[in-house]
Amino acid sequence: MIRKHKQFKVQAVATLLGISVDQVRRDSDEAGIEVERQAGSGPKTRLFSVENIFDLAAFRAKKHGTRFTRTKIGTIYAPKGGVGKTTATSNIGVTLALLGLRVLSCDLDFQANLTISYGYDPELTHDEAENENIPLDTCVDYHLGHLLPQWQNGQTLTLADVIKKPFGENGPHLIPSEVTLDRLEALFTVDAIMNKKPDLAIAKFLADGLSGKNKGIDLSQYDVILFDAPPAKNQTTRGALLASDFVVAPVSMEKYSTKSVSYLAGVLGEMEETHGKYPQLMILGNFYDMTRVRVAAQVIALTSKYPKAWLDKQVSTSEEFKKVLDDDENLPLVLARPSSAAAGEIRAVTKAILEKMETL
Amino acid sequence: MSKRESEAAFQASLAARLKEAGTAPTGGMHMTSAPTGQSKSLDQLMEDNAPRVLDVPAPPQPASSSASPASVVHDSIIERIAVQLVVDSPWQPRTRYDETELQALGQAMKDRGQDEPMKVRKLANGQYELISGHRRIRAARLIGWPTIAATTVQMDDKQAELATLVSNETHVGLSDYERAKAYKQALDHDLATDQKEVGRLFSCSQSRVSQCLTLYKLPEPILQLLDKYPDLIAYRHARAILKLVSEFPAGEEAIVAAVESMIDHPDLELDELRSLVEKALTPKRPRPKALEPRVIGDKNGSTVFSVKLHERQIVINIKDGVDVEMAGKRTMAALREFAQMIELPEKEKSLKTKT
Repeated sequence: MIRKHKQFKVQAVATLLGISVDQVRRDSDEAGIEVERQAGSGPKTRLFSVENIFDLAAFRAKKHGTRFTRTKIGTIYAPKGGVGKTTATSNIGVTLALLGLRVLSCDLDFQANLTISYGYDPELTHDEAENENIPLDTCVDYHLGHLLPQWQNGQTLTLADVIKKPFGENGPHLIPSEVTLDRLEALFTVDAIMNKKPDLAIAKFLADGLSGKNKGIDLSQYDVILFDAPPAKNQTTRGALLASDFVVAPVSMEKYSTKSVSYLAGVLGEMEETHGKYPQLMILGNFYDMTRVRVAAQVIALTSKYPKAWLDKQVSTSEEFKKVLDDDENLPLVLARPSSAAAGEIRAVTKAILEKMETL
Repeated sequence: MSKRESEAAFQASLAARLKEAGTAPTGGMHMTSAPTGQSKSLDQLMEDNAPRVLDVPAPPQPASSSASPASVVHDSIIERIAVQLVVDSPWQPRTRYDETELQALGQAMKDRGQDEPMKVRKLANGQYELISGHRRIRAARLIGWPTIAATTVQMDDKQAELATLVSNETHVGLSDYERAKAYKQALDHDLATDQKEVGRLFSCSQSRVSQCLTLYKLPEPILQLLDKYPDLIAYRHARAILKLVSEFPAGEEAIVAAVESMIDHPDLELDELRSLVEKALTPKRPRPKALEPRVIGDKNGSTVFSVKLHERQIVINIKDGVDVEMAGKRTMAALREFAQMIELPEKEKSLKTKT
C-alpha cells in the first residue's frame, strides 16, 4: 500500500475496538498476532499496524460469534452532492469491520472518491506506477461493471480479480471504481430501451453471488455489503437501491438537503409500487450543529415526517474531516484520528445503523 | 445547551425555540412519505422476475411473440423493405415516442446493426403495416436508413390486432394508461376473457393488469385528460384520486382541476395532490362565535385567566401570582402562530390584544 505505515498504540486500538487496554493485550496475545514493539531502550510499547487491528477485531468476532446469519445489503445515497456520502461509506465500512463484521464496500461512482479514500489511485497507469516505484496494487484495473454480464468484453473475472483489500484480509474489502464505470450506465440505458430490466442487474448479481449460483463471485462470506452511490439519479443507483435492505441518506444540515430526503422517499414509494421491494430508509444528520435554529427546524421537520427513519445519533460539523483530507494519510477519519470527537460520533452512528440493520 | 439532555427534552426545547421564532416545523415545505409496507426479500424479487427476466432470452424467435392462442404465422420471410413503405399499426397503443430514446436506439442500430427484424404484414395497397417495430422504424428514419429488415407475415385484422397489442416491444416505456387501454381493448375485443388471460397474453401479472385497469374507474373528465396526456398520472395516482373521489363525492370538479394542474407540474406528489383538493373543498373555517366569558384554570382548577371576547377585542384578565410577562409572550406566540395560518384579503389586521 502507498499509505505511510501508520502505527497505533494500545490505547488507540482499545478506543477503536471499544474495549479496555488490558483486553487488547490479552486478546492479541491469545490470537497470536505478531505486533511490532517500539525500538530503543525505553519500554517496549506495542505498535499495531492497521492490519493487526482488523485481525484482532476478526479474532474477537470469531470468539464471540458476532457474525450475521444473512448478508445485509445497504446503499449510502442522497440525490445531492457534498452531503458526506463517501465520507460516511468509508468510515461506516471501517467501523463495521472494527466490530468484527466482514464488510464489502462497492464504489458506484465513476469519480471514485471512495476508492481514493481507501488509498488507491484510479488515474494511475501501470507504467507510471512502475516508473515512480509505486506498488502496482495502487492502480485500479477493474470495477463492478467487470463482474456483470452487461459488460461484453468476453472476459469473465472473478471477485478475487476485482476486489481490493486496503487494510488486509480482515479489513473492509472494496470493489473499486474508475472512470470507465460510467459506461455501465450507458449499457443499462440500452438494456432499458430493449426492455431487459437493467434495474434488476445488481439484484441478480447479488442474488447469484449470495446463493452460490455464481461460482466466481462468492458474496456469502460477507456480513454487510455497502454501496456508495453517486448523487446521480441513474439506473445504477436505482439498481443498488432496489437490491438493498436499507439505505442511509446523509442529510447535510448545512445545506438544506431536506428536500432530497423527500425525493428519495418518493423513489422508494415507486419501488414499492413497481417491485414490492424497497430498502428501509435511515436518515443520518451530517455536519450537524445543533445550536443553530435553522438546523433545528430541519431536524423537527425530518423527525416528525420520518420518525422511524431518523437515526438518533448524528455527526457534527467538525474541522477534523478537512484536516484528514489535507493530511494525505489516505485513511478514513475513524482510523486516522481514533480519539477525535468526530470518530466517536461515527462509531455511535454505526452502532445505531447496526441496531436497525439487525431488525431487517 | 447541554449534550446530556435526553433526546426528547432536546427535541422539545427545539420546538419551543421554533415556536418563539414563529416557524411552524414543516411549514411551507412538502415532504413525501416513505413507504411503510412489507418489503420483499432479494430472493423473492428474483423469483418474481425469474420467468420473464432470467429464462427468456431477449431476442424472441421470429414467430414466438405472436404465439398467442391464435398462432397464425404462415410463410414468414425476412426481407429488407423500403422504410417509406412502412405504416404504423392502427392498434398500436403507444401514442408518443421519446426522442432521446429513439436517438439512442438509432445509435445502437448504427453501431451494432439491427438486432432482430421488425414484424410487418403486407397491405393490399402495397404498403407494409407494422406489427412490431414502431420504435425501430422511427430510429431507422432518424439515422436515414433507406431499408430495414422485416419479417412479413400473413394475418387478418383480428390476428394483427392481437399480435400488435401483445408484442413485447410495444410495451417499453408505456404509461399505465396506455397499458390499461391495451388491456381493455383486449378484453373488449374478446382477445381475452378475463384479467388472468390478459396477464398471460401480455406476459405480466394479473395484479398489474387489474392495477392498470383501475385507471378506467376514474371520472370521465380525467379519462379525457389522459387521452391527451397519457403519462399524466400512473396507477398510484389513480388509487389516490379514487380515494379522494369517494371521500368528496361532490368534489369532482376540484379533483379534476388538481389532476389538470399536473400537466404543468408532473412531479406533483400524492400528498400534494391531496392537499390541493382538500384546500379547494374544505369549507372556510367558520367564524368563531363570540366567545363567552370563560376562565382558564391551573392544574388544580383555580382560575388563572379569565377571557372576554368583545366585538374586536380579546380581554384577558390575569390573576395574581401569574408571571404577566411570560403570559404576554406566550399569548403573542400563539397569536403569531395563528396569524401564520391565515391570510387577510387586503384590509389591515384589526385583531388586537389587551393583557
